[in-house]
Amino acid sequence: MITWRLRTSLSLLLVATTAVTFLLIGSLIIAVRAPQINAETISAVQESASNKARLLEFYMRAIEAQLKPIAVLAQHVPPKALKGTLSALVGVGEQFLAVHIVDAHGIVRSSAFPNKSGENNERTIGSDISRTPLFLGLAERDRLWSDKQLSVSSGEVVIGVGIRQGEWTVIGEVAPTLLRESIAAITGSDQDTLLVIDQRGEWIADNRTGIAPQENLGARPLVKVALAMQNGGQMIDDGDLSLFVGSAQPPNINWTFIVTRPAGLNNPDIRRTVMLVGGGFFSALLIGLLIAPWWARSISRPMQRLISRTHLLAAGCYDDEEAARKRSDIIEINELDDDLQIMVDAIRERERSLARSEERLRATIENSPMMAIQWYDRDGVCRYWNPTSTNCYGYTSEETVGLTIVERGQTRENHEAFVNIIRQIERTGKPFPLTEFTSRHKDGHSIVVLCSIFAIPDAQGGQQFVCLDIDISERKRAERSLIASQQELESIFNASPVAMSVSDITRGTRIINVNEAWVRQFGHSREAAFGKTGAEIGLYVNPSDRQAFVDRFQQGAGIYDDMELWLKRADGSPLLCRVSSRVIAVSGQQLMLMVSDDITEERRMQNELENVNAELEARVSQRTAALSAANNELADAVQHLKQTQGELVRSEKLAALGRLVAGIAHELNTPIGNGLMAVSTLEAHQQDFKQLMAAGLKRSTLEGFVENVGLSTEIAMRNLNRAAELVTSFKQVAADQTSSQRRNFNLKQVIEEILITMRPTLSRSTHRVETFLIDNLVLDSYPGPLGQVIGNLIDNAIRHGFEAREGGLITIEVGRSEDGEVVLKVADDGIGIPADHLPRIFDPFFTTKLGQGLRLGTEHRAQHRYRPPWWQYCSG
Amino acid sequence: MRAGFCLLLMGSLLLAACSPPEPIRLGFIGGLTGRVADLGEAGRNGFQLAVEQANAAGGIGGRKIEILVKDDTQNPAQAKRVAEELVAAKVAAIIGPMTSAMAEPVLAAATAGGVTVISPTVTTAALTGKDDLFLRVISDTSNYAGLSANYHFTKNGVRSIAVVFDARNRAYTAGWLADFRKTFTGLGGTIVAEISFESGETTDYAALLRQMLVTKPDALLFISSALDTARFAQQAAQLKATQKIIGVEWAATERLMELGGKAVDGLYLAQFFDRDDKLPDFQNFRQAYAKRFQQPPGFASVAAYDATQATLQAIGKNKNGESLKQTLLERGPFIGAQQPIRFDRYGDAERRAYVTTVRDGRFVVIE
Repeated sequence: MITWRLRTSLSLLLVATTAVTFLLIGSLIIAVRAPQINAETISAVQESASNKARLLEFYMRAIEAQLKPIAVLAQHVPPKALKGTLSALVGVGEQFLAVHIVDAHGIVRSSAFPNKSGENNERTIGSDISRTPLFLGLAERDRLWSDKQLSVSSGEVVIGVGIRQGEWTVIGEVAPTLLRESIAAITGSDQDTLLVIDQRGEWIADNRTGIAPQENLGARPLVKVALAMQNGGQMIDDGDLSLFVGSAQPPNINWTFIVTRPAGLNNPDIRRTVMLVGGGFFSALLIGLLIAPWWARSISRPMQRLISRTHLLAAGCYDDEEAARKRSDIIEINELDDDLQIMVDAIRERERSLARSEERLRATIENSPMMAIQWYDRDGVCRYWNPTSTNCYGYTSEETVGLTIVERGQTRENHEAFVNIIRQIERTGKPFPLTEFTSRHKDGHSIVVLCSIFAIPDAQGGQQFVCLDIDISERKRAERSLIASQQELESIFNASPVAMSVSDITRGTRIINVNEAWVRQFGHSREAAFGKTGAEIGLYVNPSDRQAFVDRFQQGAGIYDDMELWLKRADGSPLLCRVSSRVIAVSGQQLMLMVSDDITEERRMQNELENVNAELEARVSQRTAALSAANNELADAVQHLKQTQGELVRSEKLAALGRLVAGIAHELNTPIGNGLMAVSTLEAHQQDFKQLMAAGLKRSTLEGFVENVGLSTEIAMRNLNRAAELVTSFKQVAADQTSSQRRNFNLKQVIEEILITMRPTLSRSTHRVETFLIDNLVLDSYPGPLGQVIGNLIDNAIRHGFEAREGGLITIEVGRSEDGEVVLKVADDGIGIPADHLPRIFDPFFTTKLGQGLRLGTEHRAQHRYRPPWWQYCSG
Repeated sequence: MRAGFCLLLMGSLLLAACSPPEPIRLGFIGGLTGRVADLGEAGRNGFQLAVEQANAAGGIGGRKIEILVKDDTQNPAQAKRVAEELVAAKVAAIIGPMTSAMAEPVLAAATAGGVTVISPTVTTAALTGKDDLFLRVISDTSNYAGLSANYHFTKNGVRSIAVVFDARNRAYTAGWLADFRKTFTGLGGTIVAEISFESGETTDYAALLRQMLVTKPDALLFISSALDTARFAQQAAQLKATQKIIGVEWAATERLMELGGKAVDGLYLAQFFDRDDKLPDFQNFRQAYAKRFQQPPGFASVAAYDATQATLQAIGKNKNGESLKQTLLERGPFIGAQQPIRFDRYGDAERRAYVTTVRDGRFVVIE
């Protein structure tokens, strides 16, 4: 395709417009004018031919008129007598080359020739011209002109004219040149071309035809046409011969006057018209060529500016403010300029919004949490891969873009199927509908995707294909579990031992589902119940119950519990049911769940039970009276026992206290004795010093005394402090053992204090006590009873454990069990408790030795009082 | 008109491409004015008819034939001039001239230009047996003169004869007379008078005839053109001469009757064609001629027609590097109106001769 600059194009437009306009108009003028000219010319040439023929005829008539009198005279005068007349007529041959008088037989009787030669005129007398065409022709008419003929008298080619009057004929021979001159005179300065021929096609005369007079012209197309023509002119258009022809024949002479005018371009009128049109065309072209570039430049300059601005705009440069300010003097261009500005603004706005929209779209695609979006070209090569696709398939964008699905582990068949789908979309333009596919994640686990593929235009004007995948594996699993759960629920519903029915409140409380228990209970089949109300299947013994029931729910109450109603089975037998109802909204439906628990039997049994109860109560009250009497007796016995026990306890406590006091006394004895001894020693020293001081106090004596004082004081102090500590300690033990108060105490300290109090007892025996204690073990408990227990155990061991044996060992061990409890173990290596006594050791007052039976019972009680039974007594 | 549009729309350059092939030019020389105009005109008509028929048939090898007709006015200088004009116009051949007197100047110019001259009616024996560019479709004078002498001596009882001959066409008339004399005297006849004259306006036919009659011959022989022969015959009739009158083939034109009237009845003439021939080819020619020229063909018409036909056929048969004369001489015979044309190596053609007499304005073959 040829492309042009605007300026060239405009120039061409202007030039072409002028030229084409002129060409069209010119052609139209020629097309309209040419036939007119043709018609005019045809009639003109015809008229011209007729006129010329007529004019020549006048001339010929004049010639004839000269001969006519001679012919008339010849009737009356002998031919010879007319000789003079003839000679006069011929003269020097200006007009006639010869004149003959011919008799009826064609014999020349008298002749005259131009007298220049002076020869005799007699030479032709007697010549026979009876066979000349002219003479023969005159047999039928009285005047005639011949064709060119050879004159027998002159030996020249002449034209003969004959006038016959009666038996006599006058023949004049006229030189063709003379006629030619006449014709020339007739034609004058006429523009037309004239050709005169005789009937044999011989040339007679012409003007400017350029025809060779020597030829016989009968075969010329022009002559043929002219001779064949009747009236009216004609146009010949035959190759190089293009003429308008008119022809005419004067009477009495078989000559044809052919007038021609050139046709076509040779015709002056047509040529003038064509020249005018052609001249106009070329002038228009020339003027157009001169003006068009100038005009085009003045138009194209603002256009160029506009175009260059458009180029800038097309290149994305929107900020050419200078170009925008320039105005043209052409309104449309200014409007275009303004529109362009508007367009620029619009484009910029659109670009911005496009960019935003693209950003949004990109963000939407990129961030679409559900939708895995991929673009493929028509060969199935991936072009885009959004992050969700990565989540979905495990492949990143870098692992997929530019590759086919084969490269990510799919089979070639899958790839071909995929490409086929794409080709089908490309062919039909219809998107591939949402379809489930099972695919494979990069890590190998199978995923189910819902996929749709459709075509969008790509940047190159082709198509690319968008694949939208939604990973529905999770949903599938959920659906499966939902179905399972629904089935489960349905099974539960059906397996429920309680009859249940579901009705649709919004549709007249009609039953839409019942469970198997319901079917069993009421004897209606499922099918019979579906779509019916309770009233319709005769469920209610008292129909007003149903109405009340329904009304209640329709008034908006959602819950109805434990209403007892009499209902009917299919066989009509009534049954009492405890009915509970709930209205629940499921998928926009208001459903009523109704549970009907058949309590007919239960109610009957309940009634029976109530009767039995009443009877039982009466029997119980009788027994109670008997029992209260026995009870009272027992209470008295118990009271007695309690008193005895109290006394026992008190005596025990006193015994313990005695043992304590003995222990304390024993312990205090040593420090107080030591203190006393130190003080008494000091007193002795004081006595000595006093004596020595009385003797004069010496320094060394004083120093010795001070030293003794210090020593003694120190010993005294130390032992007194010890005594004080002991007292405090005992005070605590005593307080504990009498008050049984709960407090924080150090176990080691308490045990050691107990052992101190036990020391007098131990010291009287050969047995010893070894302790394995833990320091700093503080308990929040009852130290009094604990001490009592330990004391009793040691006491029991010493008294009963060793029998007669000497040197027994009692061990007290404190340890920690694995679960953080403190284990206190008191053991002896004595004889142990016999197996048959073990179950009774904690009975009060049990003893193998009379009078000492309360110990372990007390211990048991003491411990039982404060703790769950943790005692364990191990024999051996 | 149409050409005008073409010119405007397409420009003139394109027109050169479609011009037809160059036409063949053929020249004709004959006397078309003056005293032998009948012969010239008849020859020209035959020439034109042959060319027009050839053009109507599509020309020769697709080329049209263009004619150039020249009037020699029976003036040798004019004849030479027009022949030169034809040579200059590059004619393929010249048909003509019609009279022997013109043969020499025409041949001179044609030989200079290398153009072959084929004459219909020049019978002069002066050109017989010469290997030149001159060809003719008829026999030389000796043929006709011999036939005529033989006939009149042996069959017409003529023993003595008076002769006038036109000195203006001496090349023909003198030759004719010599050939006649040779045969006639050879047979035993006597030529009692041999009178030459110059045909012209001032010719005194009566005086010439009286001169002839003085010798009391058995017959009067006019070796002259049709016009002169007619005039002699008319004079003879006026003078009530009883002798047989004899003309030559030169005068045997159709105009003879018009010019001579009843005076030419009984005139004997040698002819080289039979007007009453019934051959279809000739009849066709005759009709075509009559239709074209509104008159019957004369001997000159036939001869010119045959000369032109032979020339055109030869041009058609011509091969590269071969001259037209060679073709004409070697590739004959060519088809003529009445008989085939066959040239001898000198370019002369044998042609049958007839003896005719005029009866009621018509030629009648008597031998």
